[in-house]
Amino acid sequence: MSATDGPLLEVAGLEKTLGAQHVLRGVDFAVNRGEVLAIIGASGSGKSTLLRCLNLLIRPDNGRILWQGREVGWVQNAGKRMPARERDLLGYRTQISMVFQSFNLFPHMTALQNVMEAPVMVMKRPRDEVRAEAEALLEKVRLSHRASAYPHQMSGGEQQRVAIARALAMRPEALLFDEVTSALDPELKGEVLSVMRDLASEGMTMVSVSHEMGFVRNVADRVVFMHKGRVCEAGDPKDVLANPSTPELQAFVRSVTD
Amino acid sequence: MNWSVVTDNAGLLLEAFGTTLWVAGATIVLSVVLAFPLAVMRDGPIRSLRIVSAVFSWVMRATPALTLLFLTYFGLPQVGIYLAAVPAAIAGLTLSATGYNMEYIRAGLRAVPSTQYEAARALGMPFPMILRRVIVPQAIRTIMPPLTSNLTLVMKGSSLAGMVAVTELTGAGMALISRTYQPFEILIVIGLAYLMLNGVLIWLQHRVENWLSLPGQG
Amino acid sequence: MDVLATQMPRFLQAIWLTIWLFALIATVSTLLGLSLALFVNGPRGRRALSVYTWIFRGLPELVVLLFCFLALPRIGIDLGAIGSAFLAFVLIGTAFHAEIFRAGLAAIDPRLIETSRSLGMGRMLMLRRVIIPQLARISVTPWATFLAGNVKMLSLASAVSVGEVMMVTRQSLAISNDPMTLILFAGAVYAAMASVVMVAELLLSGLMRRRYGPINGGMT
Repeated sequence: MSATDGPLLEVAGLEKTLGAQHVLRGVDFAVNRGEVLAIIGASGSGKSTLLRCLNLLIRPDNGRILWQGREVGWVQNAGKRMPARERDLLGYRTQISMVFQSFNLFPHMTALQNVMEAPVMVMKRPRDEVRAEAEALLEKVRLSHRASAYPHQMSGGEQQRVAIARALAMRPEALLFDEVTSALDPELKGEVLSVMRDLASEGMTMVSVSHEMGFVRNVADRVVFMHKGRVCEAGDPKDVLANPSTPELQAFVRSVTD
Repeated sequence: MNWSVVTDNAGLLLEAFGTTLWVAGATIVLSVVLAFPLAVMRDGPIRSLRIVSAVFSWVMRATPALTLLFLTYFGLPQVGIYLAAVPAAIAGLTLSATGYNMEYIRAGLRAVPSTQYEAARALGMPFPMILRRVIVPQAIRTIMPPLTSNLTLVMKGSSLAGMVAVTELTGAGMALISRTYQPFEILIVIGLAYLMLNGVLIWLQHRVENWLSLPGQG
Repeated sequence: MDVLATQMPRFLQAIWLTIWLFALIATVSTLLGLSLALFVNGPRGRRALSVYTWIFRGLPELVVLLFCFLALPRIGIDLGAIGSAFLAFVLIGTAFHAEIFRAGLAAIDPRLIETSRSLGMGRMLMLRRVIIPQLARISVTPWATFLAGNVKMLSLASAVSVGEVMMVTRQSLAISNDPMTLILFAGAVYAAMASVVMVAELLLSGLMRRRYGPINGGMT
């Protein structure tokens, strides 16, 4: 399988135990370039852990993560399979960028500085070029007028849009979204979701853990339903959500539509 | 009251005041410089370094500064390290102050939410860069107030150097008292000098706190 | 090592002296500091109190100690070595404790006081049933932290020839060619005593948290 025609990201047999909790019990799925994949499931089903395994913020105990057909997170050392060192993962993380539920903007930096931080400091790109690009990104998330504001001066929706611009500033191949609207008031969810919709229509590859069934139904190309650390059901969101075949998904769909 | 003992020995007392400033200043700078890497080690990823720095911190905080001072002044020559009185005093006082500063710095580093580490890691930052660009700029707000108020303690602590033959203010005072036997005048002047230094440090502390509360500092 | 062995009886005596001197100083200065924090009211009293605490928290302990030991006898107050050490550390400890308890009082939720008043409690009753129990919760950690430091501070009494641990150490140094062992032993003695105070605080505050829940009843 060559790097261009296979899936962009593929995971197989992913397992993770956190403390006494067997959070992931063998997860398999693939994401194609340009695809929007939604991950749904009740809280505690392992969605957030799964997402953090994808960019190796958490190291899975078992299983493989293939990025453009090549395994990441493990190296062959004298015939033995060893976990890669943290510093060898940094390059990978810049290609698969993450947006968090609680925004996690750096509070001591303005919106613009937050967006410029990684390209300038991590990727060592020239500051002037990055500034122009960062301003364009803030415009894209409709926040040009807030460039010099600090996070505590912004609403949650504005902070989350800055966080999306910050993730995009690394020119990633794919974006991970971890329940990015859960911490927002209902009237602020829309502005973040519309930015995500724009990105999807531009062909950005996205993996999104989400409780927004409207987003899942209308924007996602495929949905994965997680239950107790496994993929329970997967497929086209319109089909899967309209005709859930497992009792677990039937219960979940009922609980979110009520 | 006969203040001539003070005016007659003004030169000696001024010189002693200078020594106090030097001992306290050097202790402050060295202890902060040493405490920082130790505080990072204390919560760092390497288990052996965590244990070493935890034990160091506990020993330094549980032992009197005077005992540490005796260790560097009387004890070190036994293992072949000869320090003059002033460097020995600075070394002993630094050990003591480092134990406390470590805890303040560590508390400040811990007060930064772990989500900030996570966000920085997700941006591909290596650990030293995360510390420098993300954690320290935020932790500094929590670290500075106890660190600056500790300065007054370090300044007071420099008086102990007088007990290992350093003629800083207190040492000079003790020498003068045993020569002239006028404890009242001498101790009052010395006390005022310390209170003045204390006032300066408290003023500095307020300046630092005001600066930290400026907008844009978070 | 042999000096340490021959001096051991004197060291044991010194440890005992250090312990009871510490207990006495801690008790007296805690009670005095608490009384000052609770009962000094009005702008003038507060002002005098803050001048007092500023002086005794700002001066090096050694200077206060030398003042009590060397200067006071000149105006006819001769307390001897142990007496002047006691006076000096009580003066200093009271200043610190007054500050600690004043800060603790300020941290008590005013709604608790309002509630007590609405229940018809008088000032003394409220003090005994509401304020002091809350204050104990809030101030136990800074109070114990100061006391742990106070144990170590007693080593300064050796400067005025009080026969506590550091004094015996200094005298033994003069007849020993193994200073390291003596000093490490003295350090270990203080570390042990200070650690007892620190551990006691951990147990005490843990016990109170388990029994009574969060400080201020968890009101937010």
